[in-house]
Amino acid sequence: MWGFALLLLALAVPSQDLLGDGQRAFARGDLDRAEALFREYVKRFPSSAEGWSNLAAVQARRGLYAEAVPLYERALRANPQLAEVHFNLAVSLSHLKRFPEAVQHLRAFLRRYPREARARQLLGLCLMESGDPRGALEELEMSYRLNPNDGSILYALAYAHARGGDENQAAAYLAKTESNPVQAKLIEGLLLYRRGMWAEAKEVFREVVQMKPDFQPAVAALGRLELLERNDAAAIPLLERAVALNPQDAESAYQLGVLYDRNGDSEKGKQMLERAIRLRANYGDPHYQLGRIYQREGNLEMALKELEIARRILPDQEAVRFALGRVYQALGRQAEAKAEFDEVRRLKARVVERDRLRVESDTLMKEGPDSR
Amino acid sequence: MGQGIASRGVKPQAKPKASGIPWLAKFTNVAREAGLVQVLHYGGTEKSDYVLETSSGGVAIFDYDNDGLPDIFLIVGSKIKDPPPDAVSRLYRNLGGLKFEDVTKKAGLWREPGWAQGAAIGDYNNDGCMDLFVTYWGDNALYRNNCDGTFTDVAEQAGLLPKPRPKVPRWGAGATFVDIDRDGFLDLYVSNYIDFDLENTPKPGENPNCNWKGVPVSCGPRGLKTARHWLYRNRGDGTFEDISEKAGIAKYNKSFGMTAVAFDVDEDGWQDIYNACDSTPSLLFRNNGDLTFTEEGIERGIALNDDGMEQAGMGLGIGDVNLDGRLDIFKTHFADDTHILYINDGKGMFRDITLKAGVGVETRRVGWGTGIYDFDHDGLPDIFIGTGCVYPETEAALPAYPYKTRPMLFRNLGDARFEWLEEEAGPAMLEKHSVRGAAFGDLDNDGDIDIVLWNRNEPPSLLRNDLQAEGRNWVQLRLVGTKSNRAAIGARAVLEYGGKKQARAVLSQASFYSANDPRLHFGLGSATTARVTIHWPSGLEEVFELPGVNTFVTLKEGSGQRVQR
Repeated sequence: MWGFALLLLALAVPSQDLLGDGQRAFARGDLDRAEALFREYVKRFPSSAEGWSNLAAVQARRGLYAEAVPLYERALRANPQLAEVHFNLAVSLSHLKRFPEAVQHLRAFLRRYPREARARQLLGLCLMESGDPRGALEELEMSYRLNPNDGSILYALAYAHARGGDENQAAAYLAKTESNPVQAKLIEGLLLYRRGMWAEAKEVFREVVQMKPDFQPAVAALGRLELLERNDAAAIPLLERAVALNPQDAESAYQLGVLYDRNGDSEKGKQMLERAIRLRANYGDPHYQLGRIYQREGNLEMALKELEIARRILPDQEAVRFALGRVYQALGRQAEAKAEFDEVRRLKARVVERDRLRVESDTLMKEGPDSR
Repeated sequence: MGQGIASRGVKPQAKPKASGIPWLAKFTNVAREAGLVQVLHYGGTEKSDYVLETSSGGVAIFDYDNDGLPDIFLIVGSKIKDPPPDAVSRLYRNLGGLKFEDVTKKAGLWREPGWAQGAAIGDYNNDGCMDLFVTYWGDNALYRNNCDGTFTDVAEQAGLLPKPRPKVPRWGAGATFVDIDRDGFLDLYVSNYIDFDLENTPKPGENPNCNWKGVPVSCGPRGLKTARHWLYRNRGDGTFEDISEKAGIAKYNKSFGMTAVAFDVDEDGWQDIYNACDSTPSLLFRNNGDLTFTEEGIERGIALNDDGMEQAGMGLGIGDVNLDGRLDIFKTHFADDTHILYINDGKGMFRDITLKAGVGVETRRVGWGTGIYDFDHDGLPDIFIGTGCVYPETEAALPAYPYKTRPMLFRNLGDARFEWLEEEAGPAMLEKHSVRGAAFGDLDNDGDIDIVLWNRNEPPSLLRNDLQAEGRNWVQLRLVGTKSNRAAIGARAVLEYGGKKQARAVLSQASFYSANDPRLHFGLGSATTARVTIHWPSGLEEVFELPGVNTFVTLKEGSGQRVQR
């Protein structure tokens, strides 16, 4: 998504050791320990907004946004005045693509902290996805005025203008990022990619790699484009190089796993997918791919395990729900299969509606406010 | 820029080494000599501003005058500006010897230019003359056959036009006659494509979402409003009642409906409806036997591909590719995707065997009309696909995706494995057009299957099958319902011949928005005897011993040997 770091909660730390120990565990990345301490804390103090909020933050850090949201909501019920919780909740909601709800919480946060640039940026992006491009641009412009050194806001602005059909304005914002030409080129390539101009994006990524051969994000991006275009023979060495340049790159490991599997080496594919899972906790995509491989191999028990994990991480991903439904079906668990298939229907309908709103809002924006 | 977890992950399969088995059916385009010369106008020739201009074009092969010679009806559309006066759908009467006469005016089918879409056939009033239903972006038409060589549009008096009139025209797309309640009268299912408002749809380039591979193209269907579908019950008095709501059809309004077929998918004795949908999950309306339906496309494996991804479901071929007596489904799709072959287990559960079958060898051509027919009479049904890119304007920027492309033919090698044939199948297979509809039938009554292709903004093609297959036999069955609807729409025949068993069904619509010759064609290989079990839409099952091969046989409901269950 947008790589927002969670805002640290600026809350008065209660005197209880449980809470303090939990926050220290959280800070050093020991999420299991932090969760255990926060759970114990909320068991003892069930009306503590701080306790629920910290517990939610643990789940959000794990990428379990669907589980974080109700915990943040419980924190807000306990103390609606905690503006920071509104922001953190909005971040989780935006990861779940529940943009209209995220907008509400961001507005609540900004009433308290109107000069928080990152919140304005996120609000802009959520408004864009909710079909309000005019409001989105206002927020992004304000975000940029508040923090003109943040290149990511420039990118968001360029993207929003490109979505709105104002190519010149988009290009103007992109030009401002050119203090770092390699980075700017990379962003340009990403923008082209997002517009569906894959051939042009590929050319730009190639230029970046020529300028800086070991610039891993460009090598990985090029590999992913080749993969998307089904040029597996070209994609595999690029992604192998990306993984060699940055062994911590979980996404490239995942892509490589997909490629190995679809080119007939399932065992190597499985190994790479497992590596991606080790590199990034709660990474849903490789769990899904592993589930599909096990499903294909007839190992329904393992398929079920992997796909249920994938569903926990990616509850709104139709393909996961579909694959899981089929495994339930094969296991004779018809009611559970039906529930998954109904969810597939709901999710697919939602995507179609979102596409419609996007076209409608882009058209309205192009036409101006008084054209209808 | 994630890869996305639901990528089908399929490259076009490599074309395997040719089997070397001679292919005996050669196709030659004889449309001009046959008199099929009317240009099939449809939208812009150089570019299309609206999705309305891009996808349409049904063909119907049926014997409207009961002279034993199948006739041809061809959809013709319109233009956004200044439609030519000859932009009118055409009826061609078969004069014999593959010569046709344009009888559109004489038959009362002349209508002002409009955005006609597809055709469905059926004898809705059981008078022994085949009627014709034509969908439009606009008012659909029910052409009642007056049994005297003329038709009358009775859509309004039959209750098939919306009241009150909608603000924007409905976009009638696929349609099929189907007897949903086994009362012997054909009911009617009409799918809609898009809730389309021409005035408020952005043109190419006006909206950044309306592009294909970076080239501005007409918007849709994604990004436009989905439509709902309609089910009308035949009251038996020439009028229909809209039962979409109470039948449970209306609530499925999140799809872009295209071709519709009706047959007894799960073999429970009740006719089901399968609707290919574009860019949304395809729909299977399973008949509950009480005038209600349950949508079970996903559960039964025919809504999505094996990865859970919706496809651009356009055309539907129905036939029995693995000779198990069950009706399988072949569905055509957009570029960068494979067409899909689903195998039916007989209880209405389907399996995607596309790759195993070897039909995933080409993904650049957009597939439309399709049929599963035994073109070479070896006893194994083959697959034909009409192809053509949606957008005339993208070829310059995307030469790998030309606008006009060749058709495709897959020969069945047995065991549901297929081999792609090109020039081996005759000169017509090398012709490039932008095809939409395709209809299959024996137009010259020589026993083999010919093909009519709907070429966008060109005259049609008539692919005459010049099969030279000494020692290979065939049979064609004309079914006549008595308790069932007279045209036997929905009847399923399972033919046993030479140790094989093959199912076919009488369909009101199939392929892409088209209607095939309702006579059921079977290639028999070297078999010289055959028996057939007919599963009539009334529920009756009968066995008939066929009197011979290489002949047309009429089978009347109630005259066979009843199957006791």
